Formats: sequence, C-alpha cells, structure tokens
Amino acid sequence: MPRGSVTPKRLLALAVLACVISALLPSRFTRPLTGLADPVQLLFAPISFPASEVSRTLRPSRQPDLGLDPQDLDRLIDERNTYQQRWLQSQGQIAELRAQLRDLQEGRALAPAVEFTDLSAPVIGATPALQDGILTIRAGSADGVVVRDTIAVARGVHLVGRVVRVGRRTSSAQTITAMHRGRTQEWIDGLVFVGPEGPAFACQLQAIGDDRLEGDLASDATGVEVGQVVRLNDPQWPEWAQMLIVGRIESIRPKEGAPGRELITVRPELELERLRHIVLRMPDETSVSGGSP
Amino acid sequence: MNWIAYAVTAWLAFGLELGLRDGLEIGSSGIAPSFVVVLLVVVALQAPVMTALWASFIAGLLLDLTNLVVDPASDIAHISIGPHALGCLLAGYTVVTMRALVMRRSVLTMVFLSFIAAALLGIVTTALFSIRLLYDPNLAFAPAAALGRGLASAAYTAGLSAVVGPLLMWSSPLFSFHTNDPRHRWRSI
Repeated sequence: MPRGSVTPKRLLALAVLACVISALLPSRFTRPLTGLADPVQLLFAPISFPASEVSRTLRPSRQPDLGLDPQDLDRLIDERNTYQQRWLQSQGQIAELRAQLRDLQEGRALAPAVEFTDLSAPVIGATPALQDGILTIRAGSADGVVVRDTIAVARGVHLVGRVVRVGRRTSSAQTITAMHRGRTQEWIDGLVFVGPEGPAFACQLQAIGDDRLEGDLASDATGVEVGQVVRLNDPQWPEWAQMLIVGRIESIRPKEGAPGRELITVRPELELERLRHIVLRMPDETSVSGGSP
Repeated sequence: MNWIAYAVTAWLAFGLELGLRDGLEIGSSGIAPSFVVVLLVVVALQAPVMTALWASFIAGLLLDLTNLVVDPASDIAHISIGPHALGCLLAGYTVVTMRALVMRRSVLTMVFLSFIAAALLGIVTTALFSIRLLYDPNLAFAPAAALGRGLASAAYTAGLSAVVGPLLMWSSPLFSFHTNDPRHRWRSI
C-alpha cells in the first residue's frame, strides 16, 4: 500500500481525532453546527412522529381533574380559560398603559405595541438521553418560529416552555419543568391567584424534577391554599407569555431557616412531556424586530 | 455489509428511539432504553471489524445530532458533535473485542453486551461533558445525575435487547454481514 494513502482505518482515526477536538470545544465554537440537527430531525420524523403518537396513545397525558368529561364542557372550559387569560392580560395592560401615560406626560416615549400569532404544531419526538424535557416540534423558521421569543402553550392557557432551537422545518422547546438540570437554575416569577376576584401574590419558582416546580411565596401572602392557580408574571419571558398558567399549588410548607416564609410546590395541570400537539405563540413578524440572539 | 440495509434499520431505530422515548420512559426520571445501541451491538457482533467500527461511529454521530444541550444563560440549545460518536465507537470496539468469547446468537449475550455497550456510551458522554464543565460556562450538565440515568438506561436497554435483539438477529441475512461476492462489492465493505 503506498505510504500516505487513505484507508478506512486512517480515515476513522482522523474522524476520531476530529470528534475528540469537537467534543472538548466550548459550546460557543460548536453552536454554528446546531443547524445540522434540523435535517436529521426531519429525516427521522416519518418514523418518530407515528411512534410518538403510539407512545402518547399508550401513555396519554394527564388531564386536569374536572369531575365531568363531556367534550363540550372541555371546549367551554378552554374558552373560559382563554378569555380569563386575556382579561388578566388586559388588566395588566391597563395598568401598564396608565404607567406609560404617566411616563409620556413626563416626556418619555411609549413602547410599541406587540402583537403575537399562534401556530398549532405536532410534537414529533423527544430528545434522547442527554437532557430531558426537550420536545421536537414540526414547525421551524419557515413558519415564523424564532428562538427564545416563541413560547409553547397547551390548551390555550397552559405554559409548556420556551423554544430553544429553531431549524428550517423543526424546532425544539424546553419545558418549564425541565429547566433544572445543570449548574444554573432558571427562576420563574409567578403570581398565585387567591380566588377568582381575590388578590394575587408573587412567588418565585424553579424546576425540581419529577414534573414539579418549587419556590418561595411572597412574605405578605395570605389565604394561599393548595389547588390555587399560579400564573406567569416574569419580565424575562415575552409579553405574550404573561398570565399563562404555570400550574396548581400541590403543597405548602414553612421554609426551613426562614421564619414566616412559605415554600410552595407547583405541578402543571398537563404532563408537558406527553403532549401530542402544542401551540407555538410567537411575535407577529410585522410588529417585532430583533429580540432573538 | 449491506449499507443500505443498515441505513434503513438505523433510520427505524432512530425513529423509534426519538418517538417512543416518552412512552417507554420510567416516570419522569429520564431513564429510557436505546434502540440504536441494540442495533449497534447486533452489527458489532457479526460484521467485519472495520465495518462494525464505522457503523458504530456513524450511529454515534447521528445520536450527537439529535441530542440537544440548552445553554442556561441564553436559553438557546446547541449540539455537541463527538461525545456520542466516541462513546458508540468504544462500545462497538468493546463488542468486537468480546465477540470471540461469547455465543453470538444467544439472547443472554445480546442482553449482556447491550448493557455493556449502553453503559460505556453513558460513561464516555458523561466523562467528556464533565471535562467541558471545567472550562465551559455555557454548559448545563449535572454529571452525577447523567451518569446515574445513563447506567439505569443501560439496564433498561439490556431488557429491550431481549426483545429487539432476536428480531434483528433473525433479519441479519439482510445485512449480508459476511458476503465476499465480488458482484456485491458496491454495497459491501
């Protein structure tokens, strides 16, 4: 064999060397390669999507316990939830507009209004072992999906998570209950609503695994009980995510080492990793520019 | 080896791995079996050495392309090419090395080697990401939890191999593992 000729063995050795270098490179250098994930996800979608349907038929997502199960009632509850969320959003917008009016009177400019659009998309699979809670969705940049600013919603009002990767035809969303693995933990600010007309108290939650979130309740909170709804109220999330339902309080207990403070555990009403379809809520192309790195 | 048969089987294995993961996962633990590792073991048990190593490496490369890691600072996911490719290569090499010592067509062999291969894959990926944790601030990765999940998934994969392995072994004539017919050289290595 002539010296220097390319043999499968040498080629494999070179490939291994390249992989060792690539595996040890910091993620800022390998980020441009993420675009390769999209065609691969698309390649496997014809099998992974029906398999995913079978998987979710065998182990369906847990539904909220409403006591009644007619489909019409479900639809009406969805509509009520949607209008309730819009009402709460408009309450927030009214307060914001009042504040902006005050700002304008003081000579400051109004922020441009932001519109959003909804896109229903099927979940075609989950990411393998390395990091859980990442759903692969059959919608991508060609459908207007953008990273970070697009959020995933289920049944109109339930917050599922945030889009963390966008390819041309597929994208990936990380669920709120999966933002716990690693050294840094993501905090989610929320509001606990004490009854339909009652006051709301702030809380700060983080995912703790087992499909739950846990965190501190505001020190002035009173009347908070198990079963009450927690909604998102976090400036780190897009405007169209505000007031979506994070979950219901599953338990309340005193916080160790902090007298007078309480710790709440919140569980989403749906099993986020077992949803068949989700709604991607994203900025209207005509109203927003930028926002995504 | 017939690479077309391998490509089609790998396509099915990856589709099932991505699609059935939620259904086969134990609770919300992240512990789920791997169809790809079972395929890797079947190929590494029967194919010529270099072919087995290349098939393992390609399977690992595809696993790298389907595994996302989310940067907690920017909330943007990225892929890392290498950890699974190297893990699968080591797993394939280990099976190739051990195959002379075992009964290749035994279900127990499949179960045992699937556990070894999946465990090695978990250990290599955890080790490489753990090294990167030392200097990469954008990596969200919990080594102990990932290793625990990897080893438990390896045991689960071994269980799966008892069912899927014999099916793949039964279909092994499609792979033409030992063909030397010159007419088939275009599709064989």
